[in-house]
Amino acid sequence: MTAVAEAAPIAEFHGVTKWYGPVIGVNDVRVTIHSGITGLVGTNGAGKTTLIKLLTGHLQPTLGQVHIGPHDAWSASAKQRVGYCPEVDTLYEEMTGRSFLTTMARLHGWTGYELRDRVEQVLQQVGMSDRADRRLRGCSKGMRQRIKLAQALVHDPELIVVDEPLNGVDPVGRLELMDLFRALAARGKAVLVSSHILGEMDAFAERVIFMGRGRVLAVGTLGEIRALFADMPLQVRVICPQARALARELMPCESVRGVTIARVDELSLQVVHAAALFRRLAALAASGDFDIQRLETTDVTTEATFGYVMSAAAQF
Amino acid sequence: MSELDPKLPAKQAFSAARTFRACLFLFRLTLQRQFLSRQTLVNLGLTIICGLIVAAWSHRGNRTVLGFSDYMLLPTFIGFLMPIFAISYGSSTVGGEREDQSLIYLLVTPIPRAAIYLTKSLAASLLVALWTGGTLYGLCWIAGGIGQKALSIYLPASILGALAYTGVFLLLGAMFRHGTILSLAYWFFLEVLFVQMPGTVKRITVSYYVRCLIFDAGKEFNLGPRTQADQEMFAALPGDSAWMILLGATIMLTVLGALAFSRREYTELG
Repeated sequence: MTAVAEAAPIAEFHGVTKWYGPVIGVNDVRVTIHSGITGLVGTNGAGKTTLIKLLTGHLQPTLGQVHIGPHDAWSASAKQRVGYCPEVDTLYEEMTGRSFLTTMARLHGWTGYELRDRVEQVLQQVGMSDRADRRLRGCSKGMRQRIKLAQALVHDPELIVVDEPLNGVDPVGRLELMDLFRALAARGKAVLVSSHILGEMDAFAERVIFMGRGRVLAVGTLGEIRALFADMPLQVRVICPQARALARELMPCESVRGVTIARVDELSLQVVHAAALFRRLAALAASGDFDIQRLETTDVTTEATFGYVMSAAAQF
Repeated sequence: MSELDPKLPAKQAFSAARTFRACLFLFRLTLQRQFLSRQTLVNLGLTIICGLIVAAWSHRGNRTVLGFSDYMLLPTFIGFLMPIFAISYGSSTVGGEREDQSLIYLLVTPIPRAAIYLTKSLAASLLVALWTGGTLYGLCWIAGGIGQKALSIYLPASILGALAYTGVFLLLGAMFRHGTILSLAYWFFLEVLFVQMPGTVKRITVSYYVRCLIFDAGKEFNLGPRTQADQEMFAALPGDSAWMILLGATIMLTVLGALAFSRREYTELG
C-alpha cells in the first residue's frame, strides 16, 4: 500500500530484507525518504529499529540495497549525509555539552572558525546555548536528549534520523523540538522520526511509514493512507446549533452511513464518500439555514489510521 | 539512482585530508579518554604495589640480575603488570566503548571503519607501550645497578609483548560483546596456564615468545631454564625467530581486527 510521493528521495530502500540468523528483521522493504518530516510507526518488533539501523549504516541488508544519495548506506561517504540521534541514553559523560559537540564536529572533519560557529549555531537551534558548559553526566534527561539531537545536526546532514526524540523532554521542550523539526524540513532536510507516541506524529509528521511484522504496511500522508480505506466509514464531527435539523437533512444522503447526535449542538457522522457529504454540507451552509461552526474528521490521526492499517494487515 | 535529488552529489566530499584530520583528532581523543579513565588509576595502583615489592627485595644482600629476573621481573612485570596494562587499555578502547554504547558516536562519523580501528589501536598501543616502558624503567631504577642491566634485556621484549597483547585484546573487543571478560579469561587460561605446560602448546601464547626474547638477550646472565630437563621442557626458540613471530602476530592481529571491525554489525548499539 503506497500513496503517491512527488519529491525526489534523499534515501531509498530497494527490496531490502534483513535476517538475524533465523529471525527476519525486515522483509522486502521498498520505501523512499524525501525532504520533510516522515514518521516511522509500528508496534514493538515491527522492524522500525532494523530499518533505522539499515538507514544509518549500522546494519547491512541480507538482500537488496539501501542508498543515501548515490552512496550505499554502509559506506563512510554516506555517513556525512546522515545525522543519527539514537534512542540509547549514552554520551561521552565526562565532557560538557559544548565539548561533546565540538568533538563530534571534529570527527566529521570540521575545524577552525567554521567548527566553532557551527557548534554555537546548533546549540542555539536545540536551545542549549546557555547550558552547554555543564558536564553531561549531570544533565537532565531532556538536556541530554537535546545534546544528542544536536550531535546529529552538527555536520549539517541532509537526512536526520531521530529515534524517540521527545522521551524525557518537558511539554515546552517538545513544542520547541517539533518547531525545530519543522524548521529543518522547511530547509529541505529529510527528518525521519520514530516514536511510540502516535499523538506526536499528528503534530509534525508530513508523511508516515507504518510498519508491522517486518514489512512496510503503508506509506504516505495520513490523508492519503486513510483514503485507501474507502470502505471504512470516515468519522466526521460537525458543530452546529441546529444539530437535529441538520441530522434530518443529512440522513437521506447515500454517503452517510450513520448519524449520532452527540450533544445538542454536535453531530457525529459515519461517512463513506466524504467528498459528496462535504458538497452537501457546503450547500446547506450556503442556504443560510445552518450555522456550521466546525467541521472535522476525527479518525484521520496516526493512531486511528494505524489501527486501520493493522486491521487490514491482519487479514493477509 | 537517476531520480534521486540532484543536489546531493554536489555536497562537499569527505576528502582524504578531512579524513586524516578527523583520524588525528580521534587519536588524541582516544589517548585522552583512555588516560583519564579508571584504568589509569588501577594501573597506577598496581604499579606502586609492584614498585614497593621490588623496593623491599632490593634491600636484600647478594642481589644478581638472575635473581632480579627470576623473582621480580618475570612474575610481577612480565607475568602480571604487562598483560594487565594491555587488557586495561586494549579491551576498553573498542570493547569498553561497545559495552557502554558510546561506540555509536564513532560509527556515525564518515571516518572509514578500518581507519577508526587502526587509529584507536595505535592510540591504545602507544599508551600501553608507554606504561610498559615507563613501569619497567621505574622498577629497574628502584633495583639499582642490576636493574639497569636488566632494563636493556627486558625493554625490547616487553614493548613488543605489550603490543602483541594489545592486538589480541583489541581484536577480542572488536569481535565479541564482553571483550574485557574474554580478555581476562584469555590471559588467565592461555597465558598463565598454557605457558607452564610442556610441549609445543605454549607456542600459542604471547608470553612464551616474550620469554624466549628475554632469555636470548640475557644469555650472559644465564637467564632462562638452567637444567637440561627445564630447557627441554621450555624448548626456547632463538631470539630472532621469536622477534619475527611476535612482530608478525602483532601486525596480523591488527589487520584482523581492522577487517573484523569494518565488517561487523554491532546490533546492540543504538
